[in-house]
Amino acid sequence: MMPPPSKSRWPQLGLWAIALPLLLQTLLIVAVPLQAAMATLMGTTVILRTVPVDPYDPFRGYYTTLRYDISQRGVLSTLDGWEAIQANLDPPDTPQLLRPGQSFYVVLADQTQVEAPSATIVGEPWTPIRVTRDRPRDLPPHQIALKGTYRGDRIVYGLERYYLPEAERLDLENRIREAQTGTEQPRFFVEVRIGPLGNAVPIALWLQGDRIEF
Amino acid sequence: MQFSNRTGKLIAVGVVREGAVASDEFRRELQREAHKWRTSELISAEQYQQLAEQYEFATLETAARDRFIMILLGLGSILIGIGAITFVAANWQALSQTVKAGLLFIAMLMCDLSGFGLMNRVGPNDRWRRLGQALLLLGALLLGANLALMGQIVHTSSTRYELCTTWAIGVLAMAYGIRLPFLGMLALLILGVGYWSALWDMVWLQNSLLGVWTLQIMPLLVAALFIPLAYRCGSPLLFALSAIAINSSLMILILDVGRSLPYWIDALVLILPFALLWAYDDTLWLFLGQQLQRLPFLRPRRRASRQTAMEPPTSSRRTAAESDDERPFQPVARGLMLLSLSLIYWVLSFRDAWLASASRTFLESPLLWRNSGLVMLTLSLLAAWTVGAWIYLGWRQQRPWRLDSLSAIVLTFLGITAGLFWLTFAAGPLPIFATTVMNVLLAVLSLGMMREGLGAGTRAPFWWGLVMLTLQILSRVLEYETGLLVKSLVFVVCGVGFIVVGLWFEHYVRTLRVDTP
Repeated sequence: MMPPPSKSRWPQLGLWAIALPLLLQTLLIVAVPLQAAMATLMGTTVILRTVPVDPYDPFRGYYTTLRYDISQRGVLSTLDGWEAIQANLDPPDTPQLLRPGQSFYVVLADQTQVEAPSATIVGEPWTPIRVTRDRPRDLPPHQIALKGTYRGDRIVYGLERYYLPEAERLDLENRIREAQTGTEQPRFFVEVRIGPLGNAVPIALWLQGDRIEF
Repeated sequence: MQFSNRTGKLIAVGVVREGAVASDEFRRELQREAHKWRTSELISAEQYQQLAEQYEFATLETAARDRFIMILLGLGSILIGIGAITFVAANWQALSQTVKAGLLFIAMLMCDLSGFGLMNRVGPNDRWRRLGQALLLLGALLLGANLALMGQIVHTSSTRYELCTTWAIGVLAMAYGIRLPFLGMLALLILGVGYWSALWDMVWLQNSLLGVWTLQIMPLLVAALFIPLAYRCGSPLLFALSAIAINSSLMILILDVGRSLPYWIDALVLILPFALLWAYDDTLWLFLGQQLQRLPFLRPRRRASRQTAMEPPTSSRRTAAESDDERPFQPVARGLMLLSLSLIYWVLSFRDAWLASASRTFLESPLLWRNSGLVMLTLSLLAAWTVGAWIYLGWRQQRPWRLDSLSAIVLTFLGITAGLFWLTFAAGPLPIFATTVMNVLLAVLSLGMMREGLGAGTRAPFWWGLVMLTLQILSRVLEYETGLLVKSLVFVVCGVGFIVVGLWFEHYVRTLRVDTP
């Protein structure tokens, strides 16, 4: 049997009662940026072509939703290796949009380096060359594998949001709109860093040759 | 005569609540009555004094003021917390992200530690304790700001659901640590916000562990995480909120997956949440704990793990002593069940609900989780639990199995409802028959609640029954476009029917002994 409850309605709590929850909370806070920090420190910088859309999250503020060339199934299906992974991505008889997604890797290559190996031009997009189911090893230096997750006809890379400061948001939106309506072909890219395991984190936006980082 | 009734009731209530903290309302009533008793010399001044000490009449005057202060402090904390989250959302560039992260983290630590320190003070000074609780609430909100800021710094693509789940886990850990039910409610609220938003943007979920899988076993998760906390804190409100969360997420699964099951199983799982709520029995935990201890091969390990899971029900019954009743939360679960069942009956009493055209679009929308084993596991676990709980409900020591009359009636209701669903699924829409049955069920349920409310002397069921009955009559009057003459006839027939029932009931009460449970 338990001892009878003490007279006080509020039994005194030991220090662990606050220390353990605080420790857990700290771990949770640190865990959020962990993967991104690894990708930033150890990763390779890659530029991707994108199209922005603008939603808002009440907790983390304004962001632009980024969709890439390689987010479209149509683009990926023209690449080498698509036939091999397609069977895995489309199990028969599943409206599988909401199952845990299937993951695969897109190999990207820096075209400028292929054309002129000594040149190191930043600000030009990398191009997807093939897709594989397993993480490719021993890639040449101008190639890198990016991990993607397949959900229905949408492909998610963990690079879909770029948070914008409230103050600069409208200005940036106008510039994007100008770039899109202008006569010149819009050049809107995202600079990302891809970590050793294929996980990526967005670093900056490139708009008509200007680098924008928040 | 009048006195003895009232005193009897008051003392009975007092005995029931002894040991627990009596409500303000009861203490105020007792103070008034005791004052009358003393002036009419039914009790001596000493006895009055004893009552006054036992029930702390002196603090009655300050109780309302204290509660108001508590509300102000709590509101203040919530506003500051929302301010911090909005500050993160503004993504202000004048401070570097590192400075912001450091500031927010230190603010969170300070709030939690000072709040804990103040709350943990020995001594009767409630004022500081209240401030401590407010600071802990602020700390819980600042955790959200910290998590959001971290995600923003690395431009995470994770959805709101993933943010909210992480946040809820942190707040829940704090609630367990310092046994504050309102932190548990906050965690449940945050989790709920995440859950409902996840149903919309499920495509973007990144992490399968925190993502789709947790959505599929959400009823079990909420039960495992929050019900023990409700016992640990002895908080009926937290229990009620958890029960709502469990059953609404269960209903999502049932509405989604049920359609792909055979008709009779679909009909049965549709009433599962109601059956689960009605059969909930606090003592079942204790019973299970005892049974498990008897299993010899499970003794060393399972017992230990079981104890952590079972610990709240077994120990808190004595320590928290929310009520000396053996079953502190059973009335809550049953109340919720009656509330939700009458609402569902009301919705289904409309003719449109049973027409094919209204339900077709819903039934033909694609299934979210057809082939998911996890959903099936969740459903079958909860179904097994429900069946077990009903068996336990009628189980009597050394006597044949028998349900009490109220539970038997509820079971009949649920059976009729399931049968109606099955008939509709198997034979196509039956608008006239189904609507009639639903209206009869709703009327009987409302009348039953009024009767029970009057019998038990509790107001809530009585008034709820009255509201539902009125709502039903008004809905029927507005729903059908019939001639006024027919309407008038229907009203008269209904009125006569009620009077006849009333007279019959009066007769029944006089001739028979009614056992009120």
